[in-house]
Amino acid sequence: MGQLIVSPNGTPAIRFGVCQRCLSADTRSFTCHHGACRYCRNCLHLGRVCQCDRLQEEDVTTPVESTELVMPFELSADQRRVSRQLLDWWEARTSGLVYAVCGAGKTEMTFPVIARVVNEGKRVLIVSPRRDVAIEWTDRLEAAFSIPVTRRYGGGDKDTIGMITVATAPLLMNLRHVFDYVLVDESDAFPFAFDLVLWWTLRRAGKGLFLFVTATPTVWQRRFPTVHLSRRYHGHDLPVPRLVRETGQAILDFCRQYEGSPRLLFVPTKPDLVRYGELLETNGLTFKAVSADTNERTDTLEWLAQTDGIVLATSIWERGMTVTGVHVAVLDSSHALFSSRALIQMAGRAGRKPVAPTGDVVFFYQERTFRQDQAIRAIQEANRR
Amino acid sequence: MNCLVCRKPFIIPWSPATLLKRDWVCPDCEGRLTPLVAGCPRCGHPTEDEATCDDCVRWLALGLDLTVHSLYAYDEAGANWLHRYKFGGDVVLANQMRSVLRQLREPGVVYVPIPLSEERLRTRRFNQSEVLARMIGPTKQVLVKAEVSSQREFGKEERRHRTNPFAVQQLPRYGKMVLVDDVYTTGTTLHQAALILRRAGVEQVSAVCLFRTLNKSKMRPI
Repeated sequence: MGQLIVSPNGTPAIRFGVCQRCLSADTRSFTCHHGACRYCRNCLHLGRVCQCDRLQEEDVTTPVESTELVMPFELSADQRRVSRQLLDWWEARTSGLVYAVCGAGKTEMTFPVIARVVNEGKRVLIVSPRRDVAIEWTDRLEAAFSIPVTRRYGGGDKDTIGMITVATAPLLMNLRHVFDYVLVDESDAFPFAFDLVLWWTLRRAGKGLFLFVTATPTVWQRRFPTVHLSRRYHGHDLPVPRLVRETGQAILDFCRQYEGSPRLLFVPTKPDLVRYGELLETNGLTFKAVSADTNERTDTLEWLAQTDGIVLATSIWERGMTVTGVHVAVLDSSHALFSSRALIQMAGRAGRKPVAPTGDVVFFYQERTFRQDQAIRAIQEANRR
Repeated sequence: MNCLVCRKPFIIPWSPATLLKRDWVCPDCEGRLTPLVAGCPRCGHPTEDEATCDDCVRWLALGLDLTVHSLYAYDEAGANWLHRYKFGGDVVLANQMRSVLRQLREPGVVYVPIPLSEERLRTRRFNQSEVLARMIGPTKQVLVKAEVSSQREFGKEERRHRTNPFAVQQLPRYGKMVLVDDVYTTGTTLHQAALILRRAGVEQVSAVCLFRTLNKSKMRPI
């Protein structure tokens, strides 16, 4: 019940070479001031723990308070159905999955249930895969709720836990049984998809009640009770991707065709940014490149929206970003890194705003893959439903 | 294999060394630190046509002669590396320097790490220079250090005119000793330690230092 701190009386921090804070076995031996010792390399960012340290749980929660909710806009009929279902699940104390298409207004649908949980004196955790997405969550929550939101991502405060917490998973490692309701946003995204340890930390931070919110659930997430939402909040269909054989000319044609609107080109890997960048440059098109190394990602996003430019991005931008009237192309979409889920998410970047509800989505391919077909079929199915 | 520094996976071609070596550093991280090649013969600071640098001229005027072998420039990347190693407490990072330090080994020499004060060792849990010294060769903890305030905020002149915090713990019986430290900023620490060793009767004293702060750079020592 609380946060783990290093203190003289407590349980050993490293047992059998496994760090008890982050459950990693990446502990290395060194010579401590008293002799042979081990320390954990995986959770150094939370402060080093040594074999000779002891961990103790300390209560860091702030006093319970209630909140008022001001919805940013009126929910549509579909969204009301989903949020009623979420309230029922909370009453029954069951976990669930919200299977909603990209751009369905998933954030706002969860506000009523968050308000209910908080007013019952329970604590809510919202986990997002990336810091950019966490910041956006915080902004929207602070606009809607009257109580402060605890930020537990890089650059936030790490001392106390309030009623609503927005976090990225690595910074939850030293929390134990704090949150009564854990909302996992984009629960199939990069850090969660591969790292089982992150799920364990999440399970230990919460009390066993989860809500997964995603457009592309994994197989094991589909076994939870599911509520579907396959309409965007403006009611238009999802843009269905076109398949175009990839040539340099075809890519340039795509860029020139939508001269007056922002264009977003996804590439599989960072070396590809350079390769396709040269192609655009030699043909006189200016662009910006975005990858995980780019520090000014939000600046580039604004630049893209304002100047109707071209951005080459890796899959770092596949979720959680919205640009009005953007046209999306996926270059080399047959690459093994582009799973069908990634392709669906990237196609979902187009047409997210009511003022520009459609957009062109093109999958450039060297060879047709099952993943492309699966993505297109899933989008068509969502449109039919 | 994951890189020791950035922890990202990368591919190592198989060789017999892969059976023996545990910590590998990817070429990106390896290339980030800038090695010092030609420079002042006394401290390794880059100078024109390898002349003695101004700092060393001042030390020579004080009658202190000490040759310091510096390995890397203390620039942005070096500061990051050292911060992770020393203050973040990631001790195994030193394994990156293992092969470079091992080449400095000479026969019949004892390596003396610059000590930490008792209190500082309690909080930091390890002596960063001792870990480096052990990688070069046989070490002997000859010196002890009294508790003094950190030199971080002091300028060049203030550092020079401080009382010597070092003392000899054991009577050295060796002809040649090499001091080992992590950063050479003004050289006060190493020169003070060398002075104490000379007074105790050691004939030859030199020093090895991992990073050398470049003059006129904005990098303040951490």
